[in-house]
Amino acid sequence: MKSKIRPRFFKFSLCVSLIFSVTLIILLPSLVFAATVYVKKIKTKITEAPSPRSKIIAVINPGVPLEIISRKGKFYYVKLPNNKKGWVFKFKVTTKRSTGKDGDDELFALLVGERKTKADEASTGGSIRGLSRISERDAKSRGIKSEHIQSVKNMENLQISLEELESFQLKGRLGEYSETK
Amino acid sequence: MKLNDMRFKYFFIFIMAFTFSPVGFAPSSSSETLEDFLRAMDAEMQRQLEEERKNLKKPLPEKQPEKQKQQNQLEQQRQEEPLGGILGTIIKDKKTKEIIGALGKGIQSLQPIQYNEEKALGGAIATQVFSRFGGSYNNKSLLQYVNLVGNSVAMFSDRSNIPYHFAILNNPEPNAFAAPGGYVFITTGLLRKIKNEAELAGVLGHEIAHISQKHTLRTLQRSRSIQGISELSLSLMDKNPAMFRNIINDISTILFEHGLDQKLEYEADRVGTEFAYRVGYNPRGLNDFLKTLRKIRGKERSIFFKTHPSPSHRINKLLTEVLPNYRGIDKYRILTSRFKVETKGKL
Repeated sequence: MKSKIRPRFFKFSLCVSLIFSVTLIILLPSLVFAATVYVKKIKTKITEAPSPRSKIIAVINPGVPLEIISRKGKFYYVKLPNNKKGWVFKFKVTTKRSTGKDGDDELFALLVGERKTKADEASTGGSIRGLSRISERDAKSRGIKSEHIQSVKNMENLQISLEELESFQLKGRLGEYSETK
Repeated sequence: MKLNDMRFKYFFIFIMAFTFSPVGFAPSSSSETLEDFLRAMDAEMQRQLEEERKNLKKPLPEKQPEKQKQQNQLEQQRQEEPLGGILGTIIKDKKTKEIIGALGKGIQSLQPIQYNEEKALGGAIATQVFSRFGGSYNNKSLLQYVNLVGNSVAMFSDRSNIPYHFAILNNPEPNAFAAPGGYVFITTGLLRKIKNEAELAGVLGHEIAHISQKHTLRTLQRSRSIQGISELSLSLMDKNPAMFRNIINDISTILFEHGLDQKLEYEADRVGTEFAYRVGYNPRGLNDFLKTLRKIRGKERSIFFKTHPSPSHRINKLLTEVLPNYRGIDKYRILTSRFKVETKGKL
């Protein structure tokens, strides 16, 4: 009895493990890296090599899904929806898909991006409407001086362009430039 | 023997399936794991806040006539009964009733505050910050520098698609504030204590984390002024200046008097450190600045010490729970000389 069961069982388990192993070998690369991420920054560059100084393949906007193929340091090697492949700085993408709720959805980012692009070549500061009328009315009702209300408006009006920010990060070897020498 | 064979068989299948199961090879990366972790933490904090809100003491009922008392008792009984009607008769299990009842109550509670409304609240608070803490410090190039560092950190935060605004307050006490909607303030007193750009990025990262994690809004949800409101819309704020005023009063109390919950402060330390690290700053920046604060604690007067956990506790948390997660810290930027050049003669 014993001798009859074991060889049959071993054959069965060998088959099962073989199927698992083959499936695993086939799927391993996709299992490890096949995560979809979404661009969260306007004018995100996709480059030929994992360096911001490398040739730019595409410039994409928030919400675009990218399929991760592999990674190197702080960069992901990704496939774009048009099947082009390139490298993206990993902190410019997110695993979270925009829900359309809150102010920080892709549409909002695009609106801000467009407005800023038109205003001063894509700035990152500023807001669409400035200080809310409701906020200002409340401040006035409390007797807050107009200079302090103006300070909030000035604060909102201070615009930093993406170019300024990139130049600042490049000089300090920060952001995408943190791994360059 | 038969039993042994069966046991052996199942054990072998289990081992095989476990060893070769693709579950163990699920895709992961440090940032994704961290995002998941942060999301889980956020959910946990929300749950705790909800529980605390439920546990708030109810006001004592006033003396009522007997008839009204009976009516109220019936009404209370109806309210306490999680489910009524057909569902109530079908579902007899008390626990199931409670769960479904709680879900129903959840729908009625305050909806998440949207960005425009958040910005209206933050804008009103921002005017108060300038008014209470010495007004604006208008050094154009210093302001530009703080905005460049701040926006670099905000750019890689978990909530990077809202605009952030950074201002310097003309106040000798070391302090920093974050108002909802992206308003960040830092005093001249604090800037004078900072030694390098990594420390500045750490401090600004902490404030940005308060905004990205919506700490003030989450705390506000427990406030009396917000009770009974299902959706805080701009039109509601516009039509009810008194209600808006009460909400702003509550936020002012949270930010300027009581401070946020200590757990939220520790969370802002952890998350802010991560944001600064993503830009490429040395994640020790905030920790190093807290060491400076620890030295001056007691010597200098600032509401900062009243509204935040002690620097020693914060340092301890960072050293034991946060910084060990970062490897090769020394290769990240500190940028002492740039900080000195940018701030020299401007403070």
